[in-house]
Amino acid sequence: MKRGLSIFWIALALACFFGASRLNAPLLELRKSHHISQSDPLDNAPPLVTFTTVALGGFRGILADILWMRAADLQEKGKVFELVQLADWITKLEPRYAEVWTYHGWNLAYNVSVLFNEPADRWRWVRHGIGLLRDEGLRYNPGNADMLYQLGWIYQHKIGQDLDDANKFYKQSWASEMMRLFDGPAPDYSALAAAPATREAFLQTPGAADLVRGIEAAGFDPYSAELLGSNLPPAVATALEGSPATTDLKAYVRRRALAEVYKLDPAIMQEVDAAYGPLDWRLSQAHAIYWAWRSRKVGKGFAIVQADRMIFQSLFEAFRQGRLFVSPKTGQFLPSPNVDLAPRVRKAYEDALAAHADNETIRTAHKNFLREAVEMLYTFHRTREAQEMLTDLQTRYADEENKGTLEEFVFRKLLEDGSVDLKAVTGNDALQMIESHFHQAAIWSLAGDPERAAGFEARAIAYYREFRKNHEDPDWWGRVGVPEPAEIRASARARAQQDFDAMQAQRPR
Amino acid sequence: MRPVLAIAVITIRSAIRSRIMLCLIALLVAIVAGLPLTVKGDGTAAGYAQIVIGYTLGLSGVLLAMATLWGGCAAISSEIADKQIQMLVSKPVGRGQIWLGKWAGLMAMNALLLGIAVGSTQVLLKWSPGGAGLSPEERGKLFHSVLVARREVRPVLPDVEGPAAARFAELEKAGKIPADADPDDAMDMVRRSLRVEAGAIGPGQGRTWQIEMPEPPAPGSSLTLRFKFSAATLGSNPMRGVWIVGPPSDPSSYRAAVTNAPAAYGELAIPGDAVKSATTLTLSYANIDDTGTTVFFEADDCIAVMLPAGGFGGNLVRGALVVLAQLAFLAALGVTAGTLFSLPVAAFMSIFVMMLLLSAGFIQDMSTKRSFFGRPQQASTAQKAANAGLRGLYGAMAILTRPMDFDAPWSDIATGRLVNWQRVGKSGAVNVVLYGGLVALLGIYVFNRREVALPSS
Repeated sequence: MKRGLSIFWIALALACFFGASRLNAPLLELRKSHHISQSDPLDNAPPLVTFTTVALGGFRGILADILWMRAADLQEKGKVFELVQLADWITKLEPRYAEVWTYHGWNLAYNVSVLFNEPADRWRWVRHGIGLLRDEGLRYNPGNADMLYQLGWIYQHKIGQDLDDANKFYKQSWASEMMRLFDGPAPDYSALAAAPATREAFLQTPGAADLVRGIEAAGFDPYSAELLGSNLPPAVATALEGSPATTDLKAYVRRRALAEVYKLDPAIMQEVDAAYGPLDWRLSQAHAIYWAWRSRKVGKGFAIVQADRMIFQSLFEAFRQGRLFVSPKTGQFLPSPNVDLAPRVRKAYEDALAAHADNETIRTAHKNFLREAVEMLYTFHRTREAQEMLTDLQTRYADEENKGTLEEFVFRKLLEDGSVDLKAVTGNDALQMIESHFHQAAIWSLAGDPERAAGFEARAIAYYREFRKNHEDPDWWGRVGVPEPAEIRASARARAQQDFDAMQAQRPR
Repeated sequence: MRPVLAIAVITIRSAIRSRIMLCLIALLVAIVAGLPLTVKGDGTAAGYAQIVIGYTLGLSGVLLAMATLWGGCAAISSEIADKQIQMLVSKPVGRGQIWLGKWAGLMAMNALLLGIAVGSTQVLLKWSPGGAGLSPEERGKLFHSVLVARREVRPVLPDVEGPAAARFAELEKAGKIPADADPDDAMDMVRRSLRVEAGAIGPGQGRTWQIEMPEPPAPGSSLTLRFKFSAATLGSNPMRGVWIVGPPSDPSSYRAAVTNAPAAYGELAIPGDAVKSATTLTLSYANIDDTGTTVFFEADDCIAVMLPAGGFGGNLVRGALVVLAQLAFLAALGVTAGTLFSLPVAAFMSIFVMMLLLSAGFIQDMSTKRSFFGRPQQASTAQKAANAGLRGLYGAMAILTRPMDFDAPWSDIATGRLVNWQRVGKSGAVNVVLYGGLVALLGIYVFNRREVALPSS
């Protein structure tokens, strides 16, 4: 009798649990529709997070505070090994507060990274910051405009700019990773679309099962993004070489890594490229634009203004140093101006001006872009485009500093830049100046004017020497200095040859 | 002695039979086996080892502390409540022996469980992060800075009290201290500014520190200098400097150029042979950064020299002994509380005392606070009385808690810092002999006088 009663109670409890679980979803819907809950239920959350947030109730805030204080204390003492775990717990306790995620992502990428001396150590922490926002924060707050913007900010500012001494390492590491992922400067959208969408679909490919078995036998994960790298174990390389399914496997791994590791949607990338590109996706600016684009789509009010700013600022930066030249000598990526982007950047500014007509900062940014674009286009021998930009500049912003002919304007601007203290000039600006002169020299040399070519060449070398003289510290030079003149010249000559060929092709026959 | 042992064995048996103890062992196993699989380190083997040591052993310690208090409180109070105590006290066993037997039984269980946790962690660390996948650099960092025991010595900072008093008098004379300023606060600011000045190194300048060495470095060994500075400019760009070991004027002194970012801890290996004096290490830093920025070595944790002092295993064992001594006190507290009160009251009281001990740092801070209500000069009579009362309360609590070492040693072990035998001895003397003994005497005294077989009980 007693046993039967126990069974009855257990059965009743199970029935109640079942009933409660069936009622839960409609109740949540009712709460949402009547606006009586402070926040929507968590989507996509693992059971542990859902349980923690529900079971701890209001007390989870206290627990988060305690963990937060511990994190601050440890960070102060330089004991950072726990911070990833603490950030994970704190954010999981408050999964819906976007500010908590953005603070911790920023803290890891900015404040903790600089507690290290080695660029590789710093880069690991920048990645932790990106990972926290991209892989976790956006999972619990999909479509949160601020979080998307903050993620873009790390790409635009921390990696893209040169305020951190390790920025070259960040750029190089990110570019290598993207190069491996895309097998070039940008994704092959049609190949991605044609790639097997699932593992099962790939395994239907002839030879796929044998290839997977061969790679697994070498102790390697056949679906890992590592498979796209060049330093594969010999057994894996052999298996890949001899299989008809290799192309499909790599395409599948690429598609999967893009979506699951980097959270990049090829359809959105294509939209971004159509609007502003073609972008070099090995560069952080392209990724800043991608996340800003996504933020703009879901944002409202000021979120749109800041996303627009990120887009045109990143485009401007891509214009200034959005072309990667791989040094044949060192294998390093050398960023240099991507003058082809000028019309796209101009359009982005114009779109932003049209959308936020009363925003003075956007007008100032637009004017600065036009001024710099005129100079850069001129020095890269795009005289017609430079003249067009100058006319636009003079029409819109009739200031004293913008007056004069193209030559007068550029000469005056060069003089202004020349009066700048070279100690304060960044490596990127110096590189741009030197390469543009080498480019001019190469163009004039190809055009058969060796005298003018020699003049530009001499100015490039003189600028390099002067810049070098102002930065004698070998450590500083190693971190943020510019490459040797021979390397910059090689990059400029390659570009000049392309430009010259294009000019020749356009000439009337 | 035999009755004590017999009661200890009974306590262990009943603990093993108890569901709470079984849950505890299961939880402990789950922590030791499961936690390392779930924690997120910083992506390095050294970071992973540090977090495993800190979390696994720290959580095991907390779990054992709670269980010890609960088990201690229940040891006598539940026997009284269940009327089992009559069976025991009617035997030819003294009340003191019963008390000691219960305590010894709990401590045997604690030693066993702590041993399991520490042993498993040691095995895990030897087996897991030191695996074949590590690069030589990672392996070096792991075995050089985490899985070691290093003694930390720091320079003696200059005494600023005398100069601070002189500077304060000067400022007061010049009328630069506002009339409504709290003199103690103003004096604090003067002290702080003198400390900053003492640690400031301008461009092209240098500064020297003397460090008393506990023993001369062994031939062929190397020391590690750990340092951190802040800079007078914003930003994180690394700055150049030179460390000199020995008199700076001596050209044969060891010199090493370093590039370190402000606020980042830098490490420099110093060959043992570079230390020429057996008793004092002279260290100098020259600021040669060409940005013309002043750097500051402000606080006492800005410079430390780490000396090799043994292996990780020995350090772990000494750390476990410190924790065992803390558990011994908690066991004594629990058993005594159980002789004084019923189980719920005893548990509540013991947890309160434990929380108090864990707040020792806060209590010490409060005991040095000059005012709790209002500014000292402007406080009303009631505020002054309240301030005096609180100061007295915190002062008394600070006197009681100050000698106790309730800081878990796991953080030191995780960062490769030596837990020496002196600390083990001090923890044993204070937690077991002094405080544990006093609590035991109280418990035995009360137990001896208490009527345990009242018909109503």
